[in-house]
Amino acid sequence: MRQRLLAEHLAEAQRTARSGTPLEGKGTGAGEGSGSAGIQSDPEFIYYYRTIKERIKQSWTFYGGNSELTTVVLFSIDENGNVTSTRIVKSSHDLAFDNSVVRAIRSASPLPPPPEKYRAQFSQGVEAVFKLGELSSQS
Amino acid sequence: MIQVRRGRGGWRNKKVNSAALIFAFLAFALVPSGCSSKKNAAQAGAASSGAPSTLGEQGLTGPSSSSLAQFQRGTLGRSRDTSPLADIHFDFDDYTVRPQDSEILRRNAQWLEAHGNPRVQIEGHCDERGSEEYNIALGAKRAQAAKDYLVTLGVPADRLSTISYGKELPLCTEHTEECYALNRRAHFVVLQ
Amino acid sequence: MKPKLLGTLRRRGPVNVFLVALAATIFSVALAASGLAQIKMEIVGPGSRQFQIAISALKDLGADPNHAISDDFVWVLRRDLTLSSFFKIISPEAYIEDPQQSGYKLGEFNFDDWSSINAEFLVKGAVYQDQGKLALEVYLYDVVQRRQALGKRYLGSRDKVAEMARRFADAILEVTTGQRGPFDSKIALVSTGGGRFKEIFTMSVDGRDIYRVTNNNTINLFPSFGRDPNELLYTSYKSGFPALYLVDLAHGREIEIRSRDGEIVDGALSPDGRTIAASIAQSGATNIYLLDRSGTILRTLTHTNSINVGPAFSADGQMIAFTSDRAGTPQIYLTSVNGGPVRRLTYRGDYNTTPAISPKGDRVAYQSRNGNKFDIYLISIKGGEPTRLTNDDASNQHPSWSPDGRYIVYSATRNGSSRLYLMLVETGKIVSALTEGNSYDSSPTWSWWLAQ
Repeated sequence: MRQRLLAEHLAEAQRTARSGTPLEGKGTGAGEGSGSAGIQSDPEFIYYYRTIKERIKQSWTFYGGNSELTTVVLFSIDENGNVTSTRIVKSSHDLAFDNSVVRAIRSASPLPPPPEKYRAQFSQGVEAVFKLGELSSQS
Repeated sequence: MIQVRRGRGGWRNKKVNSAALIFAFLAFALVPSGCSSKKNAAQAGAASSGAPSTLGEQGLTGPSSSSLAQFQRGTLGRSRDTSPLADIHFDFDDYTVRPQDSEILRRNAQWLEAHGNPRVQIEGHCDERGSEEYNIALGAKRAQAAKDYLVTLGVPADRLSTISYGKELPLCTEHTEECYALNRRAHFVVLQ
Repeated sequence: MKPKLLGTLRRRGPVNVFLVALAATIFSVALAASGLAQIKMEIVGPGSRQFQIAISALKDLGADPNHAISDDFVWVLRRDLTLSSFFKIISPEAYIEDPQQSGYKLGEFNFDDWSSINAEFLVKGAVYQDQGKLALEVYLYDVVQRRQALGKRYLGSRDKVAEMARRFADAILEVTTGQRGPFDSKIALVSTGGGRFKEIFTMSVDGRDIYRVTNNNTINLFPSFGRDPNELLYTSYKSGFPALYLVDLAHGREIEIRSRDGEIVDGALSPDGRTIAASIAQSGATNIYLLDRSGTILRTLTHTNSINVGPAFSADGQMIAFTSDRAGTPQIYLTSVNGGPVRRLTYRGDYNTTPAISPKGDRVAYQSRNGNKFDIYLISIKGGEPTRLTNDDASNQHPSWSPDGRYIVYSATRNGSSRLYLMLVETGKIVSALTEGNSYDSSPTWSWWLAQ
């Protein structure tokens, strides 16, 4: 089941990537020359990326504030999966929220070790945007 | 189905004959409180089967008790009220004097005149279905409607005062239409 | 896949988390200065809404040999944090260290003892005497970041320990959620106290400090606080007619406010305590007036021949919400204390009463009749579609906002018995009953914070 889903969404991802309309984000754009197109479609990368993202989300606890709260954090993962640094790049101006984000990343550590060929990237840092969003019924 | 409010011991475990209540209420609405038991309902029926004008002779000619005083004694809705003046009743969420109650008010006015127009406090009451504050305002409208009616019948306005108890002093605490109908009332208290 | 769809998908189950992760994956790689691609990630919504917290017993440093003070403090703190519904308290059975042996200051205990039981936060502290006074020194630690998040020292008498715990609970909520908690406050209510008469009481939110305000065996209704939690206004029939009473809870002094113009129905104390919005029945009509503290009418706020009742001030004291049946059925209206135009707020339902304006002033809670029962609703101060907050077998009435605006206390009546309940407004979650037993508890009103 999981395999099938992954395949389906991979196909979807590749279609969307080709259409070239980014859904999110800023920065210098995904792309050419760096082999990122390769990264995007590499199941090994996707699997790891998805795993750590889910781990961090699950270790993130917060209640309160307004749904607009957004914090951007840069964090690094070493070859063993330890989170070696966390730095707030853009504060939400809500100290409680910023702290919850740092705690989320810290308490998710140690993460699984990154795939060998992507170690450099993960140790260089992941820029994570944390958005509180609307409260859902999950509480 | 009968739900009993806590702390009102008189109602606990007591089965009330609602048919008798409806009968007592509809046909003999001039009898102030016939709500608490079969026995009272029966008494009410018997009393009102006589000539209505004898009511005053049965009752006291002196001061009668306010509903609050009766509630404090624990007798509200449980023993016969001593007022020589009969209650009138109102439709749901309404404060107009019903045509069938005009006769009661006429007799009340006659009694007052015959007894030298003593001071009377008219109480407005409601059933339990509204909010507390809205019901106090509605009770004020009911008391005022009864007062205005008595004034048109010639009772001096300065002898009549009003007070609203909202839904705070029900004669009957069951959650039934019959009970609600009995509680939506104007009650007349002879002060002196 | 369109962005809009992505937005809606985010808030659902695990499959969607997966989708989002993938979508983010696609565009997550950008060029970094080093020439390596910068990995980007977006996480929307925390995985949990409840902080895992451990509350250690307070260390006795000579003032609490039988740990009764610690027990009190911990009981109230646990109760308040539980009521907040933002915390899951880790059972003391899981705690590894002995609080009487280990230290309570940073560096004097081992964070591993707490991270190993998955605590995100930890409360530790000590009880001692300081210049003849009881001192409670308490800390909140961030176990994940291994640092102190909060430190407080409370000085006072033994009977203030519960209040210290409430204040600390509020401070914990402030550092963890960004907003001060509402527990250092009180709730006034109407209760039969097990008897037959409706009397006024106050209690703490955690239900410990119950104080009887009236004991007159008549009818006492509509408690109302201004900003000062020591001053309470209520309506009573204790003098044989309805009048307003303004009681100084700290000293027991009371003034009676009669109406020279009609019959008092109810009243609300303004936040600054200087004025009272009162509804007064006169010749059958009930209108709302602004009175001074002696009962003199300063301004007439409504001018109709119908019913206008249940005034409720906004937190800034500038606006009043009330109930009127001027359009045929009871509905919620708004007006200015300066006597400006009246605006109708509710159009849904044919019996809407008992409004309460949120502390922020953006929403109004009220009760609406559904058949023979009421439910609590919420509507924007601008109007629009109301949101139904309660939906059960009880008749739910008398909403009152917590000072922080996150909770509503209300009464729920079932089978002739009535209790107070706490609701978390944002989710509509009924947190807990606040009262129990045989008494008929209604008309709760939540004060402002005790410590300003």
